[in-house]
Amino acid sequence: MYMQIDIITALLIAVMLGLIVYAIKSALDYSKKKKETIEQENKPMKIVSIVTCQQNDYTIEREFKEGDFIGKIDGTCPKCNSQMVITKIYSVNIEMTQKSFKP
Amino acid sequence: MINMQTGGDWNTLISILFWVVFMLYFFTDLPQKTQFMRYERGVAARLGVVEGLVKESISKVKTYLVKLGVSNVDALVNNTLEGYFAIEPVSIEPTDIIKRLDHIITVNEDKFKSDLQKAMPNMGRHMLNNIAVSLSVTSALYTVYKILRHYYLIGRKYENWILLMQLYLMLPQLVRELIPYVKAVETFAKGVPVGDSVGPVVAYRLAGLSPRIDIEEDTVYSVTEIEGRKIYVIKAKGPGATVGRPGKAVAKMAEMLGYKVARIITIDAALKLEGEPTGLVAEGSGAAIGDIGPEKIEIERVAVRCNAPLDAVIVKMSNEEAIKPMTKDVAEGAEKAYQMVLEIIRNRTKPGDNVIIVGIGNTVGVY
Repeated sequence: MYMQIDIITALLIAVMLGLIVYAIKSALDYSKKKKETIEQENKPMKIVSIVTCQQNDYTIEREFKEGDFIGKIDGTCPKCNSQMVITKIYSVNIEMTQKSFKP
Repeated sequence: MINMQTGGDWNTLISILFWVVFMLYFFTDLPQKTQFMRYERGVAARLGVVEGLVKESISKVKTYLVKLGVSNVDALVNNTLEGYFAIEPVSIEPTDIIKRLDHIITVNEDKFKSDLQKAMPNMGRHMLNNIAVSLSVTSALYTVYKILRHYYLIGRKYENWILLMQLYLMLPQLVRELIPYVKAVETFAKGVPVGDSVGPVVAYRLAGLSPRIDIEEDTVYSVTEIEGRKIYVIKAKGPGATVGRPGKAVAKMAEMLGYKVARIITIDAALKLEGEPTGLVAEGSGAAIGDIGPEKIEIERVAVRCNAPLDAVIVKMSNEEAIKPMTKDVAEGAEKAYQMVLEIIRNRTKPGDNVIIVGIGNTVGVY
């Protein structure tokens, strides 16, 4: 028995193959996008406390310690000896930089 | 033209296959059953993720309580998860509904706090507030999980595929919205300011380190002066995690001032629409406060009684950002909101006026 594949069947097979390739590509793109979103949401972050002199002549940024709060007096200013106060506490994303092995 | 030798009549085979598929698809319940199975398995898997989040959050709270030396942690946490709920007052008769609602909320909160105090008698007020909010967050997560599980089991029991389909479609979004709650437990326990603390941060910028005077439960006020205007700054009592009772504090303050108030300004975090930038500051009219009624109505009533304009300054952020540690964008938004409040005071009030400014929100990590 012989089967003849005419031009229309060949065209249908081509369309079907195209659809299969498109479906696989979409699935891969979707999982890649999902992974990127999850990575973006779980970006490592650190919390920093901004400590400012009450005379506004000196500011330091340091990592948050348990017990810190905005308005907490945190030492004295090395420049003018007035009180240093925590004025801001916020989180910042840590940028992961790839180390280069090139000399 | 391609010629191929085959073992049978391909056309007949394909035709039979087509008719079998056609009959199964259009004249049986097989497609629905298959779809139902897919939905059911999908919901079960995602519900497993939510259950994992609840367990993680419970474990974080327990670890924190053990670290603080609290005894009988299991009983305390289990009691919190199941033990506190408030029933809405009758709304078909609206007379004094706000008073009744306020009474119910207050009684429920007081019961929760007094139980915590009994369990941890030596704990300071701020630490107790941090624990209370961490437990409330865990309890909220657990309640969401219980409701989702309820609908999943009902859908499975009655083979209600529409119910399961809705859950299947909604759960991915819900899971993503619930993840920040787990992180929030740790944030509140450590006392880190969150996005919702933006109102108290602006209040702090205005009041600085001036003395905090108690006015209501967990609520304080400070007096400061800006270019000849007397500014009364009201906020929740920090740095513990609490929202205080700003509405009642405003009512008390207005009474203390003999209702001679030129302007009332409220500052709060507001939900941004998808696509809007975080930290965007906007100004409008009305009371910027997200409570269910009792506190907001107090502010509105005082504004009407004093015939004082009521300004609302909002800092926009997403739902997640409101309970996560404050981001730099939100912190910058707080600074812009502070500048906007100063502008309002300078341009719309006169020297000698009394102005009430209310920093609404959770004051965790803010003095």
